Amino acid sequence: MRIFSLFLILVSFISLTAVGQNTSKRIDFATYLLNQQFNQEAIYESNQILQLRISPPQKDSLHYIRGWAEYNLKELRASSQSLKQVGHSSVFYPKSQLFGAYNLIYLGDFGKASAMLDSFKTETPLNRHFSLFLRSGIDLLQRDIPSFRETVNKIPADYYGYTKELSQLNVIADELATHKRKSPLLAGILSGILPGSGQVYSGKTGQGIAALLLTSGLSLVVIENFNKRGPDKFETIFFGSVFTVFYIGNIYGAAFSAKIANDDYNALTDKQILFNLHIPLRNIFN
Amino acid sequence: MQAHQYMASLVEYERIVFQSNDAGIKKQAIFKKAMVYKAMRSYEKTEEELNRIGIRNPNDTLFPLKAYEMAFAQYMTGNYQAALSTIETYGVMISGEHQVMPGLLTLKILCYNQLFKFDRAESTIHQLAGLSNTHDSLNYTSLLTYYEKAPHYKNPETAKHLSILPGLGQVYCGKVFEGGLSFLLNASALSFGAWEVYSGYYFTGYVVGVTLLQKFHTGGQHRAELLARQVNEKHILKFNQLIIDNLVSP
Repeated sequence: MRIFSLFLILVSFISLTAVGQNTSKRIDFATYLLNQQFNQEAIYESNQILQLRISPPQKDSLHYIRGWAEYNLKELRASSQSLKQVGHSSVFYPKSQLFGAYNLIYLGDFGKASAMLDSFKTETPLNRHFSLFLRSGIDLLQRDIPSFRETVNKIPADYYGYTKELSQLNVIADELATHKRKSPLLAGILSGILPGSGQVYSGKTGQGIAALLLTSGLSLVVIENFNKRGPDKFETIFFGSVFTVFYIGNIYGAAFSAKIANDDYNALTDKQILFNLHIPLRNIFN
Repeated sequence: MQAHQYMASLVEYERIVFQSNDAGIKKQAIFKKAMVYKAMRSYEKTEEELNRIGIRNPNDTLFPLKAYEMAFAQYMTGNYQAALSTIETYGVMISGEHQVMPGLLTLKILCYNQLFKFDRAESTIHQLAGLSNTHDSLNYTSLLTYYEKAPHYKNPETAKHLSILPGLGQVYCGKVFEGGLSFLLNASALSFGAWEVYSGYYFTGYVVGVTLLQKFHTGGQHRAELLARQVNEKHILKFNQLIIDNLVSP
């Protein structure tokens, strides 16, 4: 009986290690899939292995593999959820937390990104600096310049990993502080006085000239018909109405062009900020 | 559910590639993986996987199969020129007796049709008919009769240039009514402008006439160009379907 139970224990031990070996082989395979850029396959295989009974370090590796494959596929929300689950003891922990936060920043979910950085256990100065670096980016994306300066003051500016990008962020911050946004009201008023001048003010010179040519051409037509045919003739009323529609539409268009100019400026600035956040992360942690 | 199983088989084939030490088995697995993508109708992925298989030896059983599937995937993604060059480079190394040959030549015919190169399609049909291992029941040469009524290629550039005379480009593409309409629109804009100027309304004639005429004219040219492309696509699809119907079900 005793021998039998010993035998049972031995058999179960062997089978357990066999399962363990099998799992680690499967994780090797999932890593291979990720390295070969078979991202869909890597996600599938990770999910399959995660359903088995596996150790916490193995879970960490799989969450990292899944998260990174999702990042490669630009499934950023899913990616940050996977990366968030990578545990503290994993070698991939800092990379996972930082990229998870970056994904959320990219998606514009600043609240969740900050929360993720809050819970990030930074033990080395490098990780602390990068956490703050991302925070400064969040400040800048929210156009909170004083808070940005405060955050930047907490990190050494001369760390080789992000020196260039940090100075770029400072340049963007200076520019944002002095930038004057285009006023839709002013653009509208300008185009009311001289058709097309509102568009020129918004930086759309070509559109402005086209608007000026069309409106002044139509006004000449109206004047001609008014003088030669008389104010109560069909042609005069017809061209007069067309002119009015174009004139008023042009004022609305000028106001809209100012709004577009502002949106374009903001989108471009956001893109530059995200770019400058992304490059150091990829250089240091990839 | 089906998508799920496709993904599982993709992973299993890749696992074989990962675990096996045998180059031949690896190639087989990649080929099978490519066929999973084919079943999923992801032809770009099929081509990508097939490109991973490096075969130099034409006697390898996989060689002709790879050639056919590669050309097929390229045909399905609309890369007719690429499909033709695949058939050309691999075809010279495959024996005419091989079972894959009729398939390869059929693809070649369809590709030439798509490119409106009917003379080459016809000579490929002759080549196909000359193979010893084709179906006896199929009378390939009867296909040649269809080529007498093959659609004419409408050059989009020509259509555009013809539309300098409004509507002529549309007529060239076979749309007579639309061409007439375009001509009428242009003519009325021009005559309105001319009449106003003649009556002493210079600004009215110039501004309204020229603006409308310019819009109608360039619009008509763009329309003729687009029409030529659409007509070509529609005609060749119909023609190729006719050829496919007669090839597949004699």
